[in-house]
Amino acid sequence: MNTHRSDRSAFETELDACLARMAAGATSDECVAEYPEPLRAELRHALATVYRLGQAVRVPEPGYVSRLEDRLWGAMAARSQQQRAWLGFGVFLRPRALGRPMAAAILVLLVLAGTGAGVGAVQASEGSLPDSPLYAVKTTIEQVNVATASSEAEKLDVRLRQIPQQLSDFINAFRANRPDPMVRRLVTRVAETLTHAVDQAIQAQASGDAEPNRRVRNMIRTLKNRLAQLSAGPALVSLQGLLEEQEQRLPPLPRPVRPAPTPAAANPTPAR
Amino acid sequence: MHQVVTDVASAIQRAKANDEDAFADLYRLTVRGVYRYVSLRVPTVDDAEEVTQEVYMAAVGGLAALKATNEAGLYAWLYQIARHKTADLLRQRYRRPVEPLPDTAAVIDGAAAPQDLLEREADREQVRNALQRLTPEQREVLLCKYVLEFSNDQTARQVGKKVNAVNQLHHRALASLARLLGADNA
Repeated sequence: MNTHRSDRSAFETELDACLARMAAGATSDECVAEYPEPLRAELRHALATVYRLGQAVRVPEPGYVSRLEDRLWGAMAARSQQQRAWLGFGVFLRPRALGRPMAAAILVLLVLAGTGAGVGAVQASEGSLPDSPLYAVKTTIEQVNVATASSEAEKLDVRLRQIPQQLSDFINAFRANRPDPMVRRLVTRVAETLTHAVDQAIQAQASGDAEPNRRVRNMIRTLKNRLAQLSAGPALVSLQGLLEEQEQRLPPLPRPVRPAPTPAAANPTPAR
Repeated sequence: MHQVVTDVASAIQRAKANDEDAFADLYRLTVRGVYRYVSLRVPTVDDAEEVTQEVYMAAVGGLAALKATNEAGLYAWLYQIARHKTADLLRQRYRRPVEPLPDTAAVIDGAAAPQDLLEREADREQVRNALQRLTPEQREVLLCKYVLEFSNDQTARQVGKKVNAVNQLHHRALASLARLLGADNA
C-alpha cells in the first residue's frame, strides 16, 4: 500500500515536471521520452487530458475585467455610504435625547478617535485627499452636516455647498496626476452628493417647488464650466458624463408665468 | 497574470472597512481565477461574465461575513460563492434550457473559422459534462490544479485534505476524466 502511495506521489511529481517543461516550450513527446513504460504511456494519457482541460477554459477579456471593476467600484461606494448612514443612524436614533448638535459632535469625536487625530484635525482635514487619514474626518463631517440639517431645503443648501469643495478635491487630484483609484473615488464622492441633490430637486418640483431644480441646474452649469478648463482624461470624461446624466434627470423648468397684459398694453393707443 | 498584492490580510481588513482601493486590489488578484473557474462550469461567455459579476457583487454585499485572513481563505470564500452562483444558473438553465451559441465575438473578429469554433465549443461541452460526472472532490482538485493553477499545497488547503490524499484524489480524478472523455469520443 505504501509502495502504491509512493508510486502515485512519483507520478504526481513527474507529471508536474512535464507540465513545467511544456510551459517552457517542450513538446509532450519530448517530456515523456525519458520515462520508461508503463509510466510513459500513463504520463502521455494524463498530459492529453490536462491539455483538453486547459483548452476548455476561457479567459476573461481585459475590457470585461475593467468594466466589472468600474461597476464594483460603484457598488463599494454604495456600500460605504450605506454603512456611514447606519453609523449616523445609530447616533441619531434618539436625537431628542441627545440633541442634534451633540449627536453630531459625538460622531465627529468618534471618527477623530478612530483616526488618532486631534480636534484641530477638523480644520486640517479640509484640504485632505483619500490617501490621508484626515479624509475620513472630512467625509464624516460632510455626512454629519447633511444628517443634522433640519429640513429638506437645508439639506439641499448643505449639499450645494459641499459639491464645489468636492469638485475642487477632484480637480486637485486630477491636476496632480494622483493614482486613478483615488481620482475615481473623488468622482464617486461628487456623484453621490450630486445624485442626492438631483433627487431632492425632482421631489421638490413634483410638490410644486421648482426652485431647487433651478439651483441644481445652475450648480451643474458651474461645475461644467470649471471642468471645461481641464485637459482631457478618462476620469474627466467620466465626471462630465455624470453631470450630463444628472442634468438629464432633472425635469424641465416650468415656464415663467407672465403677468396678463393690461387692456392698455393689449390695445395700445397710437401715439399722436 | 495576477496583480501583486503584498499583504492580502491587510487588504481584506481594509476592504471590509470600505476601502475601495483595497477591494479593487483583491478583485484584480482573483478575478481571472474566478472567471476561469466559472467558465468551465457554464456554457457560454455571457454566462461566465454574468456569473463572475454576480460573484463579486455578492462579495461586496457579504464582505462583513468574510473571515479569511489570507489568500487561500479569500479564494475559498470566492469559490464557495462561485459554486452557489453557478449552481443557481445551471438550475435556471435546467428549467428553461437554451441552446448556447458559439462565441460571437470570435466569429466577428474572424479569429477562427465557424467550423473550428463549433468543434471547440463541442469539446468544451464534453469537458464540462465530464467534469460534472466526477465526484465533487475530484472536480475541485482538478479545477484547483489546472484552472486556478494552485500548487499542491494550496490545493490541499483549498479542499481541506493532506497533500498525500490530494495526490491520490488527483490521480483518480485524471484517470476518471480521461475515461469519461474517451467514452464520449468513442
